[in-house]
Amino acid sequence: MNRGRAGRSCSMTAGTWRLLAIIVATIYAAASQNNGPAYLLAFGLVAMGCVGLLYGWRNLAEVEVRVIEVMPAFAPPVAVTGEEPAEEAAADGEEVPERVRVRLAVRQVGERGGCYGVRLSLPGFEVVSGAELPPLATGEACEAVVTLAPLPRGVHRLEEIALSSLYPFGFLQVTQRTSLGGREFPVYPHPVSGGELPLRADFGDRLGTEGVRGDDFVGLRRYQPGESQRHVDWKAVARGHVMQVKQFGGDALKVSLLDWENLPGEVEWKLSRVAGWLLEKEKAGERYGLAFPGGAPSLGQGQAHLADLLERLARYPAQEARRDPAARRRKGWSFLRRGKREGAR
Amino acid sequence: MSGGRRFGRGKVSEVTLGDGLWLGAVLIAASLPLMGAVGFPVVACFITAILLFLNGLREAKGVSRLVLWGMLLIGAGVVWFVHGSVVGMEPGVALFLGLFGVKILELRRARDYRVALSLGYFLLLCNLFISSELSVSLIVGCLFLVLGMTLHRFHFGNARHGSQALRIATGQVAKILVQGAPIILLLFFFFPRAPQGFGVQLFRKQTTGMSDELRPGTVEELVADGSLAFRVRFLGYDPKQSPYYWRGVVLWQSRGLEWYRGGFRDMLAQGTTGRQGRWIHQEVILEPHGGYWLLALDQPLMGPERSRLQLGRYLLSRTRVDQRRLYEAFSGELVEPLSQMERAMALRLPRDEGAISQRLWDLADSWKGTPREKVAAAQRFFSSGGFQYTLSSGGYGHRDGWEMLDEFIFNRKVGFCSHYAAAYSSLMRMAGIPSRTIIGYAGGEWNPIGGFYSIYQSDAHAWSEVWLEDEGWVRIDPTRFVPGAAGQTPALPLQAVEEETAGDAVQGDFGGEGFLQMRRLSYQWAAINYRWTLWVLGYDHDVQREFFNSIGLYRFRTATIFLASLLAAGAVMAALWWWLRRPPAAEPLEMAYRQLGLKLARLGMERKPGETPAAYCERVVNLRPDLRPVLEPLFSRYALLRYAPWKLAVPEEDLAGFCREVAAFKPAKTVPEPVA
Repeated sequence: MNRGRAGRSCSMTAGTWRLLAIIVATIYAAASQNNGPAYLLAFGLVAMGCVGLLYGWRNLAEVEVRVIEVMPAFAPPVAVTGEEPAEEAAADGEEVPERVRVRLAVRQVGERGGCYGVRLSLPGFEVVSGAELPPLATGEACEAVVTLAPLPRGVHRLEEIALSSLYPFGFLQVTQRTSLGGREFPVYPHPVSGGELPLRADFGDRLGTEGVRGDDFVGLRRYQPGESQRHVDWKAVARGHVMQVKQFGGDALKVSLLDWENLPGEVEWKLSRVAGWLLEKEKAGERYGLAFPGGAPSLGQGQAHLADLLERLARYPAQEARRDPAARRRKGWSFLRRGKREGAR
Repeated sequence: MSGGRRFGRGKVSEVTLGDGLWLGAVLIAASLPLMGAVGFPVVACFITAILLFLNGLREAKGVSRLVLWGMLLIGAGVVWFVHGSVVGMEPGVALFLGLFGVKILELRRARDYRVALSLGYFLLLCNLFISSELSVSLIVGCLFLVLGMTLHRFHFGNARHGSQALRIATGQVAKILVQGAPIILLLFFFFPRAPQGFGVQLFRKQTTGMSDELRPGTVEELVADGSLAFRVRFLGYDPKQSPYYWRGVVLWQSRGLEWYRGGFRDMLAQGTTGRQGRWIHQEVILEPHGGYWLLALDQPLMGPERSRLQLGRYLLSRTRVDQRRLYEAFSGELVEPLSQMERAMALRLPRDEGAISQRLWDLADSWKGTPREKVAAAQRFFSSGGFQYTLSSGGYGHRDGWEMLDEFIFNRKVGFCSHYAAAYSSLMRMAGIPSRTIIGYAGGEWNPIGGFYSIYQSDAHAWSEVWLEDEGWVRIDPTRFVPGAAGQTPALPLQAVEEETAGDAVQGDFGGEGFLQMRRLSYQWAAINYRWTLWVLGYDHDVQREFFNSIGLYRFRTATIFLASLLAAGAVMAALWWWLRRPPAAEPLEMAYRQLGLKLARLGMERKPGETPAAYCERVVNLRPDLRPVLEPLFSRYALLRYAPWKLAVPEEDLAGFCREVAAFKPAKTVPEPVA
């Protein structure tokens, strides 16, 4: 998708100045001692620098990088004043990934040459590990997983990816930038669990009898890629509808709906509590949902449902935006999302 | 860092043991040839530092600060002990080695590693300064390659331990150097060479060689010295008629067995009038000797630039010969009248009566007849007076030269060429014949492959010259009259040439094809060495100037060529830089969208800055409703391609399709008339 033939640059490093210093010193010494071989040494270094530059340039000319997926993560805890410390969701042994990992496919696409000594970086993000790529010979490919430093809650954008290398001698750094077209990924709020949250009481009554383990048909749900196709409503598909999965229930399954408006406290704190609550409910195998102002409450279960809700939390406007609650209520979270995009252009 | 090691004090080493071994091996190999110049203890200290560093890497704990400071003190102490100073080439190199060793001890970071490798190039430079032998240059060339491979390997990537890295490094570095060879050659020939005396000169320790005074023992010291003194190639002449005497310094002042240049040392020779015969054109490569004399075939008539022909016809350089010198000189036979002043100088003896013993006066007076008869009588005296040739004549203590002469002539009767030449010249003066003593070299080794003569320090020689009225200055080599000295006197060049060209004779003498092969190989090596010296070592400011002149740049001064080449190089670098840093071409989607905007701009509907695709589309379609069926899908497609949420992957065909459609979009200039 992002074939990055363009955006290559080269920059000086400490090695460049070191090389220049050696060359100048050697030429001076050769001139003062009238030493022919010393001149040869200096000019050999000049040749190494010049030809090495081209080698370094070509080293990154025939490499293609593509993002396979961005694995979302949770934000680190935020210090919230005035709230009693709550037990963290991670405390009960469940792994909560705190670092976003980006899976990338890197391929050497040339007919000759290779791609060596490459470091990968994502401008705007701090790469914690996986920055060094293995050497790629002609036509070889590899998959790299880059771990980013913890990020604050929100939606982040991968604008571009930079491959840089000091190959072959460390005298110059060549950087190849590939645009990722502002690929977005969410960072979920830090989950905080414990304590009861005010559920929407009427909701529990109305759908309380719904469950997943019964045999009664209770409704349709959108098919998630990777799911078993056993319960797909094929008839509907044949009629031209999108793929939907028939859901069965009937046994007494607990259904909980959380109303955002009823939650007390600061926004970030609320987001953290809701994230923790969602994780708990998903783990318990319950059916759950979240009602945002101005939007229809979504009910469901499964990893996809969880990811969907967590992403909504991630996209929730930051605290400053609350100063104008009317605007927020009018447009909802989607307003800010679009606004952010326009601003970033 | 992957592959890093954690050190005791919480520092992470970015350098692996493999990296350390490569670095250590190169540096140790580069320090070994320096042993002769900087002394064994200094090199041993340096190697110890490298081993300590490697041990620290192996145990993954680094080198402690105590060891570091200890090595620094030991290193400084050793340098001071061995050299006693830090000024000059050898102490400077020793100091560099010591400090470099300490730098390696505290090497942990990748940055330090790169610095150490850079300093490795200076170590190679030191090697080139200490010795300009071809063999050392070849070693340095190999180490240059290995150092490049080490750098390459370090920047190869996180799997730099594998044999793959080594294989690729060898290939790549060799390829880079081969491809860079034109740059090297171009720079080598065209980069302006500095004239002699540029910059700070680091003087080498005095090399042994001929000196400009003759005392018992001065020449003997050189006999065991097999190092090269100079090499000579004759241009357009094959001198076969006389033994080779290479004139160094003419000594005018006699003190019996000691001779000095005397008070008229700075007097120049008279003009070369009355020359006879042909001039012998020679090209000399003189090894540095720390003195001023320039050797040439006896007798030099004309020297190179920046040299003078001194009274007595010998060449003196205006600058000290501290670097190898390549020059041309002309020699020939010359008869010229002896001026009054020269006669006085050539007959000068001590004024006080008692300086010369009566025995010596009696001996000189016993030679009667014409000057030629006196010369012959003195020759007979040396050949039949019981004199013997020896390399170990023993010291004479701090005695007066005339006392030494008395002792030599009447008691010891053993000596080397310096004794005989000095004694003969002194006795000639006492007999009333103008004489002087010459120090130089005699003989030389003919290299049939390279076509040049090699003269070694062991060929150092001293001889006499006497003035005969009808013949001018006549060379007398008294050592040749002494029994037992036949093998030590210079061979005739004719013999030398014949010996080498007639392989059978050599084979017969020394037996075996192997010896001949060895001999041939050594000549070949010497011939390559000679070419190297001529073309690489000898390519200096003057030779470059000649080269420039020969290719038509004679109208420009070197400074002009230098500035022009600097400007040209700067322009090329700037162009290259501009080309490398040029703004990146936009991605295909953006290019296609811009193309669409340009096409619409031609219709007078330019995209406003900051206008979103949807708003732009709206505006255009309102102005040109006829374009709505084409533009609306195009713009929505662009929006989808550009702004699709991160979960949706856009297939590549969509992008290609969009680009194609934009390319195919050809709107009419005006709104077409609706067809009725």
